[in-house]
Amino acid sequence: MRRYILKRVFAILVTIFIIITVTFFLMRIAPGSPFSQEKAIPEKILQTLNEAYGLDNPWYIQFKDYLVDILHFNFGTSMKHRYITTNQMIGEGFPVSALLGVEAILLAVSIGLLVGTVAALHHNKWQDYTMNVLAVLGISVPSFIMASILQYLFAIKLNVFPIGGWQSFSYSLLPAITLSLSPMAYIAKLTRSSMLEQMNSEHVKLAIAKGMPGKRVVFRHALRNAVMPVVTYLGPLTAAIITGSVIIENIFGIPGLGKYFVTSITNRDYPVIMGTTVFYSIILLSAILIVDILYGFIDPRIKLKGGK
Amino acid sequence: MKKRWLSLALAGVVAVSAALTGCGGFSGGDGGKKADGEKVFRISISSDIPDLDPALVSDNQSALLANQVFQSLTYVQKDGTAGLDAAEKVEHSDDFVTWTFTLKDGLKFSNGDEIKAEDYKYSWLRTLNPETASGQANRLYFIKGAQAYNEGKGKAEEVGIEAKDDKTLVVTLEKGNAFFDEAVAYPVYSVVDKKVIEANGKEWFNKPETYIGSGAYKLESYDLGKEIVLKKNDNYINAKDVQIDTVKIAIIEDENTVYEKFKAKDLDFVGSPAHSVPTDKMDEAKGLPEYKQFPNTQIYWYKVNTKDPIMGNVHMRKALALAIDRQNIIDNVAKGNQIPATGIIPQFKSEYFKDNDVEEAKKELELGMKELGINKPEDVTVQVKYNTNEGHQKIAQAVQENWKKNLGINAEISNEEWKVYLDTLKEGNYQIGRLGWVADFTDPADFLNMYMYEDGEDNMTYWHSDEFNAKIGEANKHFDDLNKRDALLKEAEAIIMADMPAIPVYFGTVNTVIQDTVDQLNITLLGNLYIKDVKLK
Amino acid sequence: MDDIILSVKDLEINFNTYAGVVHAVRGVSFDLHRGETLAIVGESGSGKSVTTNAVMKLIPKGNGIYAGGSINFEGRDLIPLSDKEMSVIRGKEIAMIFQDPMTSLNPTMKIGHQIREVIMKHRGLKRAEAKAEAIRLLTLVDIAMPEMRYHQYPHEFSGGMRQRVVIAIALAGQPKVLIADEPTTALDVTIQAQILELLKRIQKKMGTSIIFITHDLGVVANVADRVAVMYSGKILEIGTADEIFYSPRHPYTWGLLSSMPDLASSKEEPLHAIVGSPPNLIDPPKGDPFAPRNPYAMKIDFEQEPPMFKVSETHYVKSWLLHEQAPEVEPPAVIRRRMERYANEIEGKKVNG
Repeated sequence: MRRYILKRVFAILVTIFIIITVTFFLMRIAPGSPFSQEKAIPEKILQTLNEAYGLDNPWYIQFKDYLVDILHFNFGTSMKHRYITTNQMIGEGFPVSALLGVEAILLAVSIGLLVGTVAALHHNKWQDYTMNVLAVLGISVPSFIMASILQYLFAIKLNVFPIGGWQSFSYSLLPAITLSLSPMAYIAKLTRSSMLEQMNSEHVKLAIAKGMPGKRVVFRHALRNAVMPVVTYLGPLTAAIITGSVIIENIFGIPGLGKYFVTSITNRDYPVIMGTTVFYSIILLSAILIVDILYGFIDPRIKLKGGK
Repeated sequence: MKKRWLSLALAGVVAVSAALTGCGGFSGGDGGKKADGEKVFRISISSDIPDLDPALVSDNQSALLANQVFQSLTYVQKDGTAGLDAAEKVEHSDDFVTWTFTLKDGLKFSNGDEIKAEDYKYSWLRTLNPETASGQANRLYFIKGAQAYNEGKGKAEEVGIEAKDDKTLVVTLEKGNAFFDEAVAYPVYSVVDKKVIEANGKEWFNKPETYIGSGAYKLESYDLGKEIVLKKNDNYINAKDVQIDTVKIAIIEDENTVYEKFKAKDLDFVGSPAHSVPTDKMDEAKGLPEYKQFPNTQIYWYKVNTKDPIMGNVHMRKALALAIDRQNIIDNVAKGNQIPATGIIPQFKSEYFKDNDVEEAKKELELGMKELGINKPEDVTVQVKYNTNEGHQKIAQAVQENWKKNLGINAEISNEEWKVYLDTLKEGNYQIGRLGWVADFTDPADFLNMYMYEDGEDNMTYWHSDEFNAKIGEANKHFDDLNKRDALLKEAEAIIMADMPAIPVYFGTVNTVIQDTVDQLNITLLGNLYIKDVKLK
Repeated sequence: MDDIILSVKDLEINFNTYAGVVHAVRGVSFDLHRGETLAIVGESGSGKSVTTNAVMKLIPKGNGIYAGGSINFEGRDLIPLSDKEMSVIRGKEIAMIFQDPMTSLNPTMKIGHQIREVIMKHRGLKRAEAKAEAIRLLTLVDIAMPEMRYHQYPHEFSGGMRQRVVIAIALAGQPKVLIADEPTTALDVTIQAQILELLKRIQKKMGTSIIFITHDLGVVANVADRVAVMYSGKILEIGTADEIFYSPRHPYTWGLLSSMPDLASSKEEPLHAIVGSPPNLIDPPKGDPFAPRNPYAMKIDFEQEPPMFKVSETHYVKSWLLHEQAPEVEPPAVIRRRMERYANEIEGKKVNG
């Protein structure tokens, strides 16, 4: 197991280096400068600014400088908000986004599994049909529409939740619910089909033939095997939550990392673009690694290569 | 064994969630709960302040903060002219070249440090210092030797600022300018505390304790991405007239959410520079008793590339300008009670042609087509560019439709992302491009000066006229008689309008909603909000 | 009779499908005595699996219907029982072994636990005691190093070993009846023999009654006390193993026996196959279902279904050939020769002990 993890971590580092390089060059190739505004800045001042940020150096010097900085975990200062460092932005924004993300994932997985199982156990009855319709809606309706509808219904009209902002835990509930809907629907569908398959399998039949009570059959014999596809989905799920949260954070006024991710590109804010991209890459790659390790624990048939 | 791992993992997830909740960075703020009698004013902005250092301030959100926390010799009054802030008296020589500012007694920074004329000199030189890398240093180029110093060609001692004594500041300009007192109101001219800056270096603005100014408010806390809290500065020279004790500025990106919060009475004011009323809520907002509109010196126009083969023809340009139905666009697309622009100076609101004059437009088109050798209007295709934005898109579509219906020509509209768009315009890769201009002073010439040089950075049309430049030069000889000057500027405007290198669309307004508990809130003609004047009932 | 532990009478099972109603089991009756092994043989689609699944009430509820008859276990009809009531019988009174050991076990559960859970549920033992019992069972089914194997997962066992585990699970509740649905079909021949030996040993030791489903007559000869031959949802002939092998009376049984190759037959003899295929059970024929393929069929076989004719106390045949007015028919030569050979073998065995 240890060897396996080491190998994977090494692979992650290589991947991140590639991401850094590609991002660096894409950023510099994109037209537009971080300092341009509607009212033109005099050439001379533009030059001074470029010098101050090292943008007048040849690209390989800039790249080398940048790599050196990253090794010291210095992601630089924002060029747009010139008093905030990228590390600060990530440090302030990430816990917020993470909390939102964790809440959404917990909701999506727990309710998704539950609903999917219920639908599978009542195959072709009203519970099943209802779940299918809701799931299709959940997956197809874009998150910003869902967010606006829910905000209008529950915050403005019914006043159950606050409209937006981030002042206490209750402010995180409606956004987390909204963020969880699409993954929840997907997990429900996944669980349902997986459970149906399991419930019709030979080993479940044997469990029933052994006289095992219904609940035990459903949970230990069927569901336990049915969750595998859901676990596989946890990796891309993390990605979906991270990107989906940009829209949710915008609509609900949540001070997370999402907006820095998007606005940094609009602003050509090179240090922040790079910092957030690298950061997200680490999160995503780690999530995938964790899922793979988790798999090794859940499914005894899987032996992680280079380990055990 | 495996079970234990799983339960550990589960416990780990729960622990992480609890930890995140704990440091989930909730901004404790409870919007509204106040100490007895404390007056709290709540507004919001859309993103973190770009520049905290007043020497770097260029956008209106940074200016919003700077206007509260920092102080300059003058400030902008409601009608845009200069009012006295730190200065007790402002005098100038007859030729408007030499300006003398007399400071009030008892000026102090929020930390108690005294303010002398020396401090103003220090502050302005700091802005001009090339090492400060201020993108707004050119605002000080009125001053003699300022540009040379800023470009590294001159010395600081040669800049025309002199502290005659503790209370007197004498400034020498490159050329006479009657509006210098208004220029001084801009944040780059604010006074900063030399001691604090020298002690803390570049990071002086990073902590509330060292972010020292002499304005009506001081920075209490800045929760990145969440909220800025300001508290009344008791050392402010006019502190006794300041009623609002605390200002809470929430950082919320989405303007619809902000508007809903206002309706739920969680915010006291929505309007530029503190966010804007969303365009699709404008009709509803106009019906509210809380609605209030403020005039503003800004213009929405389409610049035309006069080097382009088709757009280089003056009749074509005029045809396009005349064929736009501005009132219709204002009523149905922009919806902000803007004013149709048939001239390019908002202060004058001159009418050089009639809005939606389809007949004249057609005549001009005929002339233009004949000169260019084009037979049918359908053969004409023009390209209109704008930066990606829903509002600009709708207006461009309306204009496209106007031209099709009224002239029969084709227009292709396309958008580019902001930064890319700016590059495109600067490189001249366009025929017709949307832009806007907000005045920095009440000087009408601010809308004309950019056209004086063909390659001027803000010109973009490559239009140039010696006659026009001469007219402006003459106008600038009459700073003592602003009425005479205005008349000459009008003549200059007439010259440029005859050539139409820019097609005006409308003069902007500031649309706001203000809670009825708020009194005496004004947005100045130049777009400033000074909270020190606001009162809560 | 107290001696009869399971008695199936006139059982009818239908399935609702998109194509129509499939009459899978059409009036099946048989008894199972304590301690005996009853083999049910037949082709695919004869209804043998459906019959035994029906006994356990494992027919898919969505489209499977108990259309008639009764299943009496120790005097009690199982058909009206609820799932909850059945869960007390399944595993504890009647246990089942499936055909494919590769898919019968839960891949994510230790096999030891899969045995243990049966013991804990049906015999009320606590965890530690149940574990000890489970290990004892593993030894009973000839699995070496049972303490270590207890903690292993199904994928760590070979096919034959897995089937032994399945048998251990089946025995864990100490059932009175064991239903083995083609337990060796998926295994290779050497393992097959081992499993069969195991089952016989267990039966001797624990006195379990076994219903053994197979299509392989060789297996039948090895284990069965009595044999029932099923075709097209009905039992056509039932008798002791000797009676079926020595003096089969139904032409279908003749066909089955003659299509079985054995080492003693000469290479020149062509392998006798039964021509044609079983009838469509959505629209079953009204006469003898085997008639279309029966070289000895009479006109009446197509018109009317024959009743069960008694040949001896233990031997019954459902064929018009046994009617007093039916012509005398000799079984095919192949059969006669085989009958003689079997007789000699049995004699040989009796002599050699």
